[in-house]
Amino acid sequence: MLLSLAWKNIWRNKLRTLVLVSAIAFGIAGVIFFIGLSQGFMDARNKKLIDTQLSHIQIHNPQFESVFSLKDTISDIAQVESFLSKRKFVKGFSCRLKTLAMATSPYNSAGVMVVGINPIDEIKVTRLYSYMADSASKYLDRVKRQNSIIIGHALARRLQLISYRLTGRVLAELKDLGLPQSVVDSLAQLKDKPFRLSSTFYDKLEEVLPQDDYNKYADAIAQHAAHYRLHRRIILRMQDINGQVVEAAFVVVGVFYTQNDLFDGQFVFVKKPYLAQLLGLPGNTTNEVAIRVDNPDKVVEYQQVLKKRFPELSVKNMYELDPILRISRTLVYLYYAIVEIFVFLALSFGIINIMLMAVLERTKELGMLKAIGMNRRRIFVMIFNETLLITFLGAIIGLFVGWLIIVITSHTGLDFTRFARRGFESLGFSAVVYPRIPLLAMLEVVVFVVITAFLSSLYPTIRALKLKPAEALRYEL
Amino acid sequence: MLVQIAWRNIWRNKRRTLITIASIFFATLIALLTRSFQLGYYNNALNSIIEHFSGHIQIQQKDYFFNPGINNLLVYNDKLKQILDKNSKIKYYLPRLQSGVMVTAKNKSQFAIIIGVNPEKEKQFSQLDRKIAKFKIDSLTIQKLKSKIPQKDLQLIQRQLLGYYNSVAQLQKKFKYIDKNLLPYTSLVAKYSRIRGRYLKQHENSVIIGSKLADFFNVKVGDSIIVLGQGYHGLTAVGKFKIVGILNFPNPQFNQTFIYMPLRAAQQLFSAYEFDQNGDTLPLVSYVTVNTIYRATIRPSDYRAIEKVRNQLQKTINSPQVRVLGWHELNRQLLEQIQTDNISGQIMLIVLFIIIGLGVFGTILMMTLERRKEFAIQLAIGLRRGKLQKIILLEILFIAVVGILLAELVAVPIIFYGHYHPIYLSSPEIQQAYAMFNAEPIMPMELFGQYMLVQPLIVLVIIAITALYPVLFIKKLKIPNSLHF
Repeated sequence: MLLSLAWKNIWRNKLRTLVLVSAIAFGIAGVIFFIGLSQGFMDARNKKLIDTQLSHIQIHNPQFESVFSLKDTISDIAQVESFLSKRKFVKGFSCRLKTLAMATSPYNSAGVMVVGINPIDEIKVTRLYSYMADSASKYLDRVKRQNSIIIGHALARRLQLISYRLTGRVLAELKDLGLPQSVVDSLAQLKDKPFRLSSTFYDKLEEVLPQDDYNKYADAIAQHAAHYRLHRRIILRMQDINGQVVEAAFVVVGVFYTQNDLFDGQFVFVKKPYLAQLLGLPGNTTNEVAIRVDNPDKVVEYQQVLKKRFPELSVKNMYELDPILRISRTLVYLYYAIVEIFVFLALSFGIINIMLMAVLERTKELGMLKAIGMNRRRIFVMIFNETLLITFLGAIIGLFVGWLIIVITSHTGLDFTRFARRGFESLGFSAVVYPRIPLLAMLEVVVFVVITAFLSSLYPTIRALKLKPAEALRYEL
Repeated sequence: MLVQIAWRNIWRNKRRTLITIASIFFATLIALLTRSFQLGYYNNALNSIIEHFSGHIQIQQKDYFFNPGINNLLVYNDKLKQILDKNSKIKYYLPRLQSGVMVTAKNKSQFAIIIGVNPEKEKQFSQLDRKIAKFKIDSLTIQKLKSKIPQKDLQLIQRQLLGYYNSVAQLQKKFKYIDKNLLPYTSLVAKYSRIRGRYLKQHENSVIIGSKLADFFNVKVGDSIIVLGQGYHGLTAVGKFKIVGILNFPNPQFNQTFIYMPLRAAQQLFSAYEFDQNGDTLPLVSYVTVNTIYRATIRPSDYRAIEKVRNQLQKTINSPQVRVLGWHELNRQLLEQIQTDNISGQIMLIVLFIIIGLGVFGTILMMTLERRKEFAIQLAIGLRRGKLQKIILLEILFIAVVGILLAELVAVPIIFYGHYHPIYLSSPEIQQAYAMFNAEPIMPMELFGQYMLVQPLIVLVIIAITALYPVLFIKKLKIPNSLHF
């Protein structure tokens, strides 16, 4: 009875109710969209990180992590291999041999992490092969030469293995990317001119472009005009197992570009048997095993299986390997909660203010109800129900609309390419984002809605109870 | 006259006015605090990297930016120093010489980057002296503590607390985080884990070395390393240096890569000298880092101020061999990350503003409907609709201004407090993530700036839009019907 009375009451002023309902609905849909978007960014980043570097589980000799030495290998690698190949949950595993080296080209040198891999195994674990920077670049599985090496874009730039040329095709690509016509026109005067050094190319760009355009687009232009000078030799200088420094020439067969400058500048990949031979080690020497599992959600469970079987080895899952990945699993909910607190605080002030006015303007009516014998408890329930109804109506609409937006955008994706392209990508984010709302975050929103509804219903109702019937009857507008 | 009527009107019904003021007050306050947190977060990230790592401005040889090798060095002569000394906008500047080398010690070799610095100036800039490790908990420490600490606690220390520490306070913080029961052992552990080590002195042939490098080579203070690399113009760079301290940065990457030595020693190692026409030697450096008296923030005015100094320097140095770079060029990726993050921050603000707008609209809507009869009477006795509209607009303006001013007044002390007592993020995951940027894991609020005006202005615009409702309402009001309302 009181519920239907409350329902009728809220529709006495349709506009007011609609304003409140839409404020609540909008707030909730907005929060859901915001969380979905943040989650989408994070998912894309995590996926790329796992695909290119981390894999799901890594196994090391525990010594290997604290002191990086060639002696700290996984001694009984055959046993690990046979165990892993019999597990159903293992989709692929790669036995790697990693060592530090100094890479030198005729122009420059840089410290690098050399990763020796068996390409056939590695492609079952990581997907670096799908991040090759141009069509001429080959992943290691497609080349026979044993001293082949693939390096990242940032290292290629540092070692000056990039030349630049703005061909007609590059100019067309840049135009498709959304560069202003004026910029493309100014670039036309450099058409087909070769530049051997980044510095001279950038200098020329600065010359032909206005300062603002240069700051905004120079990197994107260079990225597209880059032409890798493949099949050049670089020298790796490293220490073998006996402490002797060995030098070896490698031929660059491919350049990868994951848009993570740290990774692209530091990691190089070579064939493991050749690397092991250079270092004076047996061909199957391994100091890192990377594993891809069938279901990443069960990674902790799988990790326990491996830990139990190999207690003397260090077995780490992807969350333990990367702090940002760990944050994205746990602390991110705290961040969402903070955003929600701010939004729902704003929302509850709106609700309280409007409902307070709505109650106070009905002083006379409430006085009348009291005078004809409606008791305090019933008045309390009636008013409380009114606010609650409005809030929940808005909440249901908001949750539905928010969910709908996420469902739609998660299929179509949101294209942020036009905004600061490099910004997103350098964080390991992708420029096209597929929003997703995790169940836990959705529950968080629902909990906050309920708390907001009850708390903001309380105050107007209490004020209503404090009205005195006798005075209220006399109250005039 | 109209102003007076409007002013009296709003105090005729105090309850209604106070509720409306409250709604505007909270709207503005939340917008201000949200933005303050966002800006504080961005500027904290920028600050740690720019003020202490890249510097506001760098002066380099023209090719160094794209090819940071040992052959593209800058002449660091008295003329350059004079220019920098004379510029009153420059707080301080420091030269550095850096290059990658192979380092050998105890039969092991590894790549590392040597950075030659001016020890005194470096203190001010990167606070390098505070990164010297004073304690090292390792198996030896555990051995010594065996009889003094119960087995259970000792195991906890062995599992979770091995590593380097720069101060007792840092040790204490970590102990407290792992297990409060360990706190009483702090001084005992400190006593048995103390290691030798000091900061660099101006003219000496010694180095301080990253902790992970030290562990790799298994060296300690007093041992020596041998450096082999390429010097200026193809000369060989070879030298033996004594380790006087171990560096412990928050960022593990730094600990694995960097070796610092006095600038003079580095110049000798790399033969970084040139001769002018008179045969005098000119010292060479990789770059000179300049910090101005301004702050490096994402605020456009700060950016322009530093940019102005940069242009000045480029002009006075006046050499085609020299390139003067601003922090936005040196940290393009970081800046764009922050700008991108700012987009999602602004999406959140837009959501907030629409909620606020609808809330304020609801209040003004109620206020208008309540006064229907009053409006009708006023119109009936001959008040022009236009004048009535003006009165209402003035009323809303007064209320808005009072609400906004109150919000600013309340926000100021909160922001002050939040700026000087920032929230400390104690979770180890966040600390690790911050360490990757060498930033302090804190969430400060941004002290006053443009946003203190922009946010209230947006609220004012929202109120102006909602104020259209009473104006339209009065225009369409039917007097006879409303008199009986």
